[in-house]
Amino acid sequence: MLKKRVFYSTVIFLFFIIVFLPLVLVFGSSFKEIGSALSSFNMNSLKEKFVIISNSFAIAFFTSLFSLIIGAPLAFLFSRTNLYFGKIIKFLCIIPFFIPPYIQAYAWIFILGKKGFLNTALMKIFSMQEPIFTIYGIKGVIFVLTLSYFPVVMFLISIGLESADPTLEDACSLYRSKLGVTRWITFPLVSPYLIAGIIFTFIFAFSQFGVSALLEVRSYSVDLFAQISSFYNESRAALNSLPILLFILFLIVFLSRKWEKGFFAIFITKDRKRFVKLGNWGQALGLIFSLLVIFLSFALPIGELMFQSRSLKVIIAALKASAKPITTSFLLAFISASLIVILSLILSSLLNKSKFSLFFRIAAILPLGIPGSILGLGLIKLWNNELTGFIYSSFLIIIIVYIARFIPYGILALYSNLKQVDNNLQDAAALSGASQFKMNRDILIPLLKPGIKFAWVITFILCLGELSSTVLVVPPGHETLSLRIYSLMHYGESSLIAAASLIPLLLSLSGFLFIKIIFAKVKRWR
Amino acid sequence: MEIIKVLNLIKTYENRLILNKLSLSLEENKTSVIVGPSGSGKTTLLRLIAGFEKPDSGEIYINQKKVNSPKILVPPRKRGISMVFQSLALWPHMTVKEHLAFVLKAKKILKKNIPEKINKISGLVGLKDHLKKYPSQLSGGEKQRVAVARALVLEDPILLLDEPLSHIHPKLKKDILNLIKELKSELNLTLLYVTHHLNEALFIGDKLFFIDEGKLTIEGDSRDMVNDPRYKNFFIDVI
Repeated sequence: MLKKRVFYSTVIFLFFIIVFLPLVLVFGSSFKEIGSALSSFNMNSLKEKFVIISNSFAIAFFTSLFSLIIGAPLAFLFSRTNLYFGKIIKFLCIIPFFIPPYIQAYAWIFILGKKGFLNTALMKIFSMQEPIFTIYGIKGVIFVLTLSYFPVVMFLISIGLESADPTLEDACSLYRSKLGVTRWITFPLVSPYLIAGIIFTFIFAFSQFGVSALLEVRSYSVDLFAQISSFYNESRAALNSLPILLFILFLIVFLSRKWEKGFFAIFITKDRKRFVKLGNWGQALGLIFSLLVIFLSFALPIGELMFQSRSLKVIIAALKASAKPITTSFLLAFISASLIVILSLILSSLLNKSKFSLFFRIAAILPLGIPGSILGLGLIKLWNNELTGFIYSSFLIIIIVYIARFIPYGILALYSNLKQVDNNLQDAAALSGASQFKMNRDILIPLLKPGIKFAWVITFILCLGELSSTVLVVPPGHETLSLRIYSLMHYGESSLIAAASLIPLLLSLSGFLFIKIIFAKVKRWR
Repeated sequence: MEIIKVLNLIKTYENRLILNKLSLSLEENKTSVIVGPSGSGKTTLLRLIAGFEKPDSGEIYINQKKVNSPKILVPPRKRGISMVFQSLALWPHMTVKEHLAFVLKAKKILKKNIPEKINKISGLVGLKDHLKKYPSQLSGGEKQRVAVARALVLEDPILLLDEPLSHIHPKLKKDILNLIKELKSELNLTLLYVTHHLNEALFIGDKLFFIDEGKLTIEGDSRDMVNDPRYKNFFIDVI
């Protein structure tokens, strides 16, 4: 019992040190700025802040809206209809999430930039001096982010649609038409997943940095980064981020309450056999829509990057030139994703038992709302000193960054999965005399397999693409692939950048395949 | 009088034959019980009668009207039937009262009559104190009563029950069976009850249909069958 307590206390302490202490330090120091912030307050600065905040809100709002418009019909097609090649198309629709958004943006600059091939062609055909639409600006950011994040909405809604008990809809069909069943039963059952998808997309889009910076839009995260890197005004940056943090906190509390009601049955795997049979027209429309989405979000940008790479030689050269960052990124993402899964498993089981579970859940997923650059600042404040300098100057600081930023995803996935596990199964194992270790190994872990897989893959991908915190803390000699590509984008040769941009996708896919193979092989844990 | 007639039904799932030329007819105001082992096709038969699926071949008539065939599928809501599901299928986002009001509103019952109807049925099934609760706040027996109340609030003449007592305590089973019996005579219902428990079938059924591997094996009046020495060995086998 004592051993258990010590173990759990250590994990909570670690969580506090890694995730919360940096924030306490950075926000604590920002309060001394309140006075000077108020004294420098004027109409111009207010106007400027308004522009930045409204840009960010517009980006987040419209990205969520368009992700929903694309993601919801796709989820329905894949989960509830007999669409031809549904499984393959669904997989292809998830791939855009494997491409870091700033790379998606970079590819679209080649297509719809001022000198992009599509704009050049259109200007030639219609003899125009200026392109009708360029990827630069808010509309472009929304367009790129929608193509990157619609898989999140699609994935969550399709889980909702697949896990809804079909007899609930049957029961309703005794009294209502198909439309009525959708309105009164399907929609309310799926709405928590839909809301979660929208909120996640909103937070992702709000806090992203790379796309806005590349497409020259002044957004909240770009402004924070500028405050830190150009004006060296860290405390003011932290202070400025507070109102937004409160807003994101509000969204997280809202999400947690839905979660509290037990709606998030994320990992129920029901064998749903009742499909809507699409006729020829339905099949044709479904295929055209889903293939168009794949074309825009994956085939066209990746095809363009391949084209820009010019030749296989350049791709090989890019691989060689980035060999060290590739290895660093892969290993750090691999280690971090694995540590996140282990920590999330322990923390989720604690959350499941805790009396203050709602409070702890909010605390656990709060880091979702912290801008990467602010977290980076906090980590510098905490770790950059004589005592912990050996951590700060090594690759360990990058692992800490990844854990602090992405542990909420691990906790969200594993806690939801844990909620679905029938306690009787563990009780039955305990009655048979199994030890705690055996029970975990033979009963709990196999039942949590879907959650573990999901948490590992998503955090691995996010770690590979992390930019806004890493850029502040990266120690010499440990440059990650994202950083290398991001700096190349500013100073490098375009064919080399295009070739290097293909690498994160390959790494993400290899991580995804790796976990699939591991889980397929290790069917028995004994 | 014959109220439901099933003629030569064939239904397959993924190349597995579930119902094999099954025919039977059910009489009005009687309780017919379909008994059979798991996988014998009982639930599939009920789903076809309810109108959730189409057969591969064969026909179903309700009140002499063809409602199901490979080409015809009268939607469930237009068949004048209610159903209690094996899983109960209670909507997690609705309270007990909302369940009952939802069903009544769907059938366009006048708004002013809805509270009275809810009052009546909740009184009959003993749920008056639980109207504001969600399914997750109810015990197993209470959930069962909600499912029965939802099925009966419209007073549809036909009630289908798909192993409704499979997950509840034996002590509660008898209470619920008595309740169903009472409601049946009070509301003048025709019941089609599916179970694999012979004791349940004998307790509630007027007429028994035994099906196995999608075929009707034996049918008859339950009292006659119990007293008929020809069926003695059969019952022993089933039990």
